[in-house]
Amino acid sequence: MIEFKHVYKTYGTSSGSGQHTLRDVSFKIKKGEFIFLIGPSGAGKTTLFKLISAYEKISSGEVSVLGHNVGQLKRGQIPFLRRKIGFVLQSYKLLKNKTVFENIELPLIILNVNKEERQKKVSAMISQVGLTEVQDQFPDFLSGGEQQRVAIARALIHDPEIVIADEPTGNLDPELSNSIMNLFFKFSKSGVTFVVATHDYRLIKEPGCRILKVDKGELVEDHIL
Amino acid sequence: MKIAPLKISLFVIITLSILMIITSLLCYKNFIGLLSLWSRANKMNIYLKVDSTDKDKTDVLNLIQQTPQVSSAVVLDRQKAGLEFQNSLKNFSSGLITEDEMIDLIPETIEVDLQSSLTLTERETIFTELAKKMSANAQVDEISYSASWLKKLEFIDRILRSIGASVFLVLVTSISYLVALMMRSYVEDSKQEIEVYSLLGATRWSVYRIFLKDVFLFISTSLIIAFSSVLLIFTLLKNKLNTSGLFGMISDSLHFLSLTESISIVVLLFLFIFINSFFTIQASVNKLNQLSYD
Repeated sequence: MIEFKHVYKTYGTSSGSGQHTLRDVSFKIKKGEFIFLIGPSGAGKTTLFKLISAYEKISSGEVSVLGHNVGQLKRGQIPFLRRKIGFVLQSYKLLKNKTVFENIELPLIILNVNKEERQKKVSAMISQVGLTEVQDQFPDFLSGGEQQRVAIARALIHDPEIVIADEPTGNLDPELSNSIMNLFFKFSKSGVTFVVATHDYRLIKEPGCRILKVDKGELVEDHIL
Repeated sequence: MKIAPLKISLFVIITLSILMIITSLLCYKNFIGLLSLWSRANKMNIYLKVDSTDKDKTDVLNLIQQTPQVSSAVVLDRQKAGLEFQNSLKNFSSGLITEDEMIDLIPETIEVDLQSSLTLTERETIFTELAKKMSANAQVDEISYSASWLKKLEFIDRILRSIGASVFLVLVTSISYLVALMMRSYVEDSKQEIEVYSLLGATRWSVYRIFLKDVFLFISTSLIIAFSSVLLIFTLLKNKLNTSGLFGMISDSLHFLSLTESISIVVLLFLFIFINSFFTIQASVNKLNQLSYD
């Protein structure tokens, strides 16, 4: 499903020399796995996600996602890869001029799903994440936890094969963080592969989860809880 | 900057630009129309020699008819012309000249008119060529068609066309610049929206479509408002001129753009602004290609 083979990512500096953000990273993630990607800030977690979703190009090695060699994808093919991935980010990335319902509906509009089916799917998803009462509100009127639930609903509405969550609880208090993680565990039971980056080790408590630890750009730990 | 004020500014700029272009074209059309009106009233008079016979007159008439743009060539009645002239001088020269003497003074005259559809330049050219041809005829004594005035009008027309083309170019360049500037700000202001769409797997075309849909609405509404405003002002002005006795005749000669002219302008302006906006959106969105999802 996701495979990294001896991946290096180097950012150029003004002096001309390169700085490694990822160094010889290799791992393989299978369908349905729940992965915690842990490590301190600046360890390279976000860079890893950017390589998976083709926001960055690798410097050397090979990244394969859902059978696509990401490094060889043409610009026009990248959106079609992203459609198979759901993204949950620390900053939520919700559109402020659209309601909760409309925000969750967006991926289905991009996939040209008909209106009737959209209504049905979005309503079901809103009920699953417990947002029924606020579905007609705009994101600015919601709490951080509610906004993140909207982002989760949006990430899952189009039945993606992988969900990438980059510090999803970074802006939330411990109680809300736990409720967000519980939502992730609930949806992972349907076979979706979750890769959750966090530096909050208290969230890692679900047995059977796999933990990948990166530090200074290197994969230093890979074990199952 | 917020999106709403940007959209309003963009809309105002497009509407004013279209309004200026339509007004300029309308002014040019009517000014040239008025000049042509005067030139249409101006006919060519060909004076034959006093001893010319009926056969000479027919030969000259046949020669004139060889010019396809001639709409009429009429031989004027000498006696009638003489009487009219005598009447006009009656108060000043009563009994000074007799009728026969008067008629002898008036030569045989052929009045030539051209087709009304001809432009100022075409009228001037055809009259000059015809005058040259007639001068070579032994039976023709003199030719009169206000050549110098026609030349002046033709010159004014040429100057107006040059100024019009320059103004049009300046306006079009300004519109391109302003629309590009506004579209760039609009896209820049929608950066977060573009980032979200890109994150969710929207293709570049679907991102362009979001902006192009707005541009389409702006241009269509602007065109309708600009055209309606110009038509309204034109109608009011024409009515005002009509009621003031002095300019009544002028007001009859003022016309709004024809359906063909209007459709051509709408299509041209629409395509021009739309294509210009498309390329600006494309360049601005591509510039944001390195999106951040942090």
